Amino acid sequence: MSNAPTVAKPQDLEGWAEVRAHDRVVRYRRSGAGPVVLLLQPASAVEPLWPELLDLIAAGTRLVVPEPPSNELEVEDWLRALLEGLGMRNTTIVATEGFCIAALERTLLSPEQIARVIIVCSGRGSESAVDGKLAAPAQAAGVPFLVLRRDHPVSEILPVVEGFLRR
Amino acid sequence: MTTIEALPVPALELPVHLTHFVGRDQELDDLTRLVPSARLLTLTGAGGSGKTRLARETALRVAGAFGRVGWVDLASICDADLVAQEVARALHLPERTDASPRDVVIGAICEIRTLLILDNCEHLVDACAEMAEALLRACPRLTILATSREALGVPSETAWLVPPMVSAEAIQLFVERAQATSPGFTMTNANSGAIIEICRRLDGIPLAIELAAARVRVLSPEQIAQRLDDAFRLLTTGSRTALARHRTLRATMEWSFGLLGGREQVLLRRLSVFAGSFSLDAAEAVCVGDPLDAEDILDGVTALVDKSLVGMTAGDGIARYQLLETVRQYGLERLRDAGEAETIERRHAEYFLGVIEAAAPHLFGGEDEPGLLARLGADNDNLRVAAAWTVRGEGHGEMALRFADALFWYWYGSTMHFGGGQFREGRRFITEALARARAQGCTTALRGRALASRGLIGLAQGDYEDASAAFAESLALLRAEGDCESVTFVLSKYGATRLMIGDLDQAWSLLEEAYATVTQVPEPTMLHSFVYSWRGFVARVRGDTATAREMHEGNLRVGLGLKHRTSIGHGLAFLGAVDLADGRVDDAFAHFCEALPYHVEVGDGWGLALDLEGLSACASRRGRYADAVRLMGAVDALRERSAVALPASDAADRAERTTRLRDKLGDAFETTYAEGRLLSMDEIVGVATDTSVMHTSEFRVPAFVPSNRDGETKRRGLRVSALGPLQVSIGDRTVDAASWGSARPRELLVYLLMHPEGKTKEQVGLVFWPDASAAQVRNNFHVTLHRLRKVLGTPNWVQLAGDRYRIDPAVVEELDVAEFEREVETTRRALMRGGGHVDTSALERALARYRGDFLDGEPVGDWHLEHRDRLQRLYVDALMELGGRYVEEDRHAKAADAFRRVLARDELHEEALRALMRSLAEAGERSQALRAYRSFAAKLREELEADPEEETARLSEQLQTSA
Repeated sequence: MSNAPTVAKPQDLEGWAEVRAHDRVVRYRRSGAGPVVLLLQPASAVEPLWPELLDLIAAGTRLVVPEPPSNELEVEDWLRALLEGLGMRNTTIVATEGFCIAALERTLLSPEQIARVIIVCSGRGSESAVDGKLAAPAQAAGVPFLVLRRDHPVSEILPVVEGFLRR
Repeated sequence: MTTIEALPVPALELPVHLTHFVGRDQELDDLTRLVPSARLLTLTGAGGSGKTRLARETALRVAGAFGRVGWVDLASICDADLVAQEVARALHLPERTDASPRDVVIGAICEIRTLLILDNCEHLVDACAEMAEALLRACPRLTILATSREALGVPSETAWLVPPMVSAEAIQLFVERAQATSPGFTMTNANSGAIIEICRRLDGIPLAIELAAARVRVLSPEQIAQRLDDAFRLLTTGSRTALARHRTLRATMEWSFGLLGGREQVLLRRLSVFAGSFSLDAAEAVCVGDPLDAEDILDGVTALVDKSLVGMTAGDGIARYQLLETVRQYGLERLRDAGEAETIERRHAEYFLGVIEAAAPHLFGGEDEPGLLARLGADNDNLRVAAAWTVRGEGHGEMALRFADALFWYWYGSTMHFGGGQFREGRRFITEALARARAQGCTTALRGRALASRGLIGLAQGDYEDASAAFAESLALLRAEGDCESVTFVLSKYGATRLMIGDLDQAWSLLEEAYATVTQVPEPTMLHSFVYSWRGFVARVRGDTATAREMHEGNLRVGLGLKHRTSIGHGLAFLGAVDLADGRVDDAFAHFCEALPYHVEVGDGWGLALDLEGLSACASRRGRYADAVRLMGAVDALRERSAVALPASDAADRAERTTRLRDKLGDAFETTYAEGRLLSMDEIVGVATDTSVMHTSEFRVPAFVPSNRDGETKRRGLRVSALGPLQVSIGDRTVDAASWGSARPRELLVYLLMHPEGKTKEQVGLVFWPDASAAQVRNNFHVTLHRLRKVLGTPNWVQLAGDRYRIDPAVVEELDVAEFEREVETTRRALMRGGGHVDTSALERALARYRGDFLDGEPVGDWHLEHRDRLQRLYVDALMELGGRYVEEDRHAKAADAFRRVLARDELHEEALRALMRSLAEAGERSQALRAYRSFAAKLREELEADPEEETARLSEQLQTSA
């Protein structure tokens, strides 16, 4: 099996790192050192995350931010290639918008790889895919997860996330 | 070849794997294309997926595109701070006090197209990422190929997930590994389905397939497939993710481990305590204990090699064993589960403490036993892990201090021999050891000696203030303990340190005290060497060349007495320096030239710098200005590579010479100096010892006579009697049956003795284990060799020359077979030449050596039959000749006795019978002659259903008639 060796390699160190797995190339940026946090959000999010939350997450973690896939229909395969190619264990996933379902699916299939999941769904609960049907088996996989709603005030969010990350 | 010669262009040093690399064609093609243009390519994937093998094969393919290739195995490194140092060591770069290991690496490779392979990064991901990023930023021509279960996450990294093997390659791997275990194994229509199922079931994971294939000696592929199915029933996930592969491998490990016998399981988990490879001696020392005895270790290691759980490499004639990292991690888990970790780790540490303490006296002041450093180097990871263990847990402070004391001269010697360095790590270790020891209240003598090691590191690294502080503290502790010998040693090194700083008064005072003490002790000892050498150095710098000469002549005398190459070299070089101070340039030149080969042979960078600096001064004084400048360039490059500082006391002379030579050469100085920096060691020696530098025509470069061999004249010889029951003696001691353990080692001894030209292990394998696979032969051979060497007591009695093993002919005092053949042939020739006037007693004596047939009663292989028959024929023929000679001399009773001995060996030897009958008849024993005939005829009838020849029957009738 080939890992798609046709893409030219970046020669500078300011660019992206990349993962080649399952015939895919997934690019990402990394910063910091410590436990791994994988941040999944669209390139142009409808409701970007709270900047304070990002600061909190970035402190003391190895933050991995991938370049989202061009085709939304391939998110599950894309995420699988990324996680397996990175080979990281005990990853905390922070997923927003269209990545929520893929993150939960991966959690169910590979619970050993994932330490905890934070789902940030939009303020409109009825539009979120996160309902009791998926949440129950995710808990059965033994992976703690936290659901945040984007319309929550940041002052309420931060202590909850901080406590959750310490678990 | 010396280290210095090796430094500029290191050979391609990649790990050795004994098994053939199978498949991965597509992956290798991809990687070969990707790596040369990549900055950082990390092979990721679960343990056992083949990352290391793939990295090695890729490195082999692409090495030609790089000016320098370095392989760094990080598996045994536990401390993130040591990553950069390990990279420097792998590239044979010296440690420096004025630059971090990372900067040393950057300085060495920033201009060179370099491929660095970082193997096993997963436990040090952050440290590796940081190191990789720093190197890649500073070295634009660097490519890093890493293997890690996790990506490093560095910008520009490509994390390349190693895929499972495709089906056809997985099957090929299974079949090849099965054939290595069971040479007759083939894939047939009957078993192909099972093999395909096994490979599918094992998700194409190479290690899992190898573990399964290793079982074909006992289980058929169908049985393996069935058992895997049972073992994996709980695993089924339906997805072929990396995680599923991780679980599959884990289950395969469990399965493979579960199939081991109870003792083998215990052995495997205990062996996992070794870092890197280990010898059988070490395995015996560390792993023996309820329920394992020594025999279990040898047999168990062999069994584990057969099952692919332990790999073997045949180093320089002494096999070393190693667990794959994935297996080792699994074994460590088992060790912890069994509650044995503390006990086995302690034994490991105690064993290697014993090893280094036994070696230390032979490394004191420089290696006095050739090959010792190389042997210790094979256990470098174990020494490091063992020492680290003593400062990790509680209550091992005393062991930590003993390591600190014993390791210095190993660190020093290996730095000189192999480049790289461990002083930085050593200094950290000693600091931790001292801190722990203080907390535990360890004895002051041990602390004093550990502090001396710290001082020695400072002295070696040019950190003289730190060294002074350590020596001063050490001295106070050792004085308090009354450890006179250590006090004298530290005084000499403390004095040397003060000299380096330029504090001549204190240096002289310290060395005077040391001198007063050492002169109370009879020569020669290494203490004399140290004290004479440094006292002489200080005397010269103080302008007292008479004392200096006396001291260095003393050091040379001690060196020659001890046959210590480093001391001889230093004695000669320092005499050269004194000659220069006295204006005796010709003598100086001779001394430096004579010292040079010693320093080249030992790989002594400090001594080489001394020689070359002196020879540059000689050339300068003789008007050979260009050569003088070239040698300055060469010595400066050497100092940088070996991290050897110019002594402060010599700085003024060097500066004066530089100024003078700049004046003489003008603009050519810089280019000439640059030429010198690029000279190879051979070229340096050529320039340095060019006799045309001398004006005196009678001068001759002294011939170099290696000095290290003379001391081994007293040997305990080996005596072997193989005619009749085997008897082996070493010196005055007869080796009893229990010492051998089994018959194979003594069979190997005789086999090698019978083939003095030597035999390869493959040749031995064909004779000893004709049905075994190549891997089994290697393993069996080395286990047998190990046992033989243990019995002999002196490992190098079995020599490896090229690829052939042989018994060192110098140690064989007697082999009765050889003596017998030689003496019989000699006397038979004499008999033939001498007619009737030859003394038959020589032949009698030769024949007396034949106590019985060759290896009579020994359980040996068919190889011995050819020798047995040949020797028996020789014996019988010689007896017939002896009998014939006695007949000619009318000594018929003696003749009859000889012919009887023939018949005792070959009862159907009819010619001997007739000769016996005639001799008995001549001796008046006709009735005995006729009895012999009847007995012979009955035997012939019984065995061959034949009658005696007509001639024999006629003789019998004649005897009856005459009776």
